Amino acid sequence: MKKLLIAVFLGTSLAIGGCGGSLMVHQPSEQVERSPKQLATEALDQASASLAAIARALLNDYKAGAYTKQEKDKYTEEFVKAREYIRKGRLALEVGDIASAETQAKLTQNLIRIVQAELTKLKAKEEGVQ
Amino acid sequence: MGAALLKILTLVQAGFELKAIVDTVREKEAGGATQKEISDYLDSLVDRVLQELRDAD
Repeated sequence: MKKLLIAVFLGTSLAIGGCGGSLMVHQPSEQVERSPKQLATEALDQASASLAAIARALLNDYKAGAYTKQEKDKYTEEFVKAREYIRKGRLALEVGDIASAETQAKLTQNLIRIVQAELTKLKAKEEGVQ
Repeated sequence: MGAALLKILTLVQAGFELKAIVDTVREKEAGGATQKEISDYLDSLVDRVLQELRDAD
């Protein structure tokens, strides 16, 4: 049972992969070459989709009693920071600052990875795994 | 063990949530939505979930 859960967990972590993983938000188009601005927009969209997904999952599981209010508030704070990165990225795109938009997308992805890692640590702690 | 299992399920569920979002985005793209409309949809989705998280007691 434990091995199965670990396998499912690893598979899922790879699937959401901190937003840059294998599940692309936009349909890859081989025929149309995309501009750097389009690519940066897609990176931000990917980050936004991943953030919505992990936040929704946390909300559902908080309601199911998997987290304390303190834990929920802590992760919500992290998600608000991630949302701010996305907002800054969108603003950067509006003024043509592609590099900054890409940086904000990466910051969002990194923050989601950190939250994922913390959730994993919480789980290990509750199971008494070192 | 119960809470730990639920926490694992959070990550599993996040994968399913992402798949559902991606499916919606692809439907919108197929329906002719612009990239800006997709971005707005995703950002408003994040805002709604964050508001629900803040409001949850």
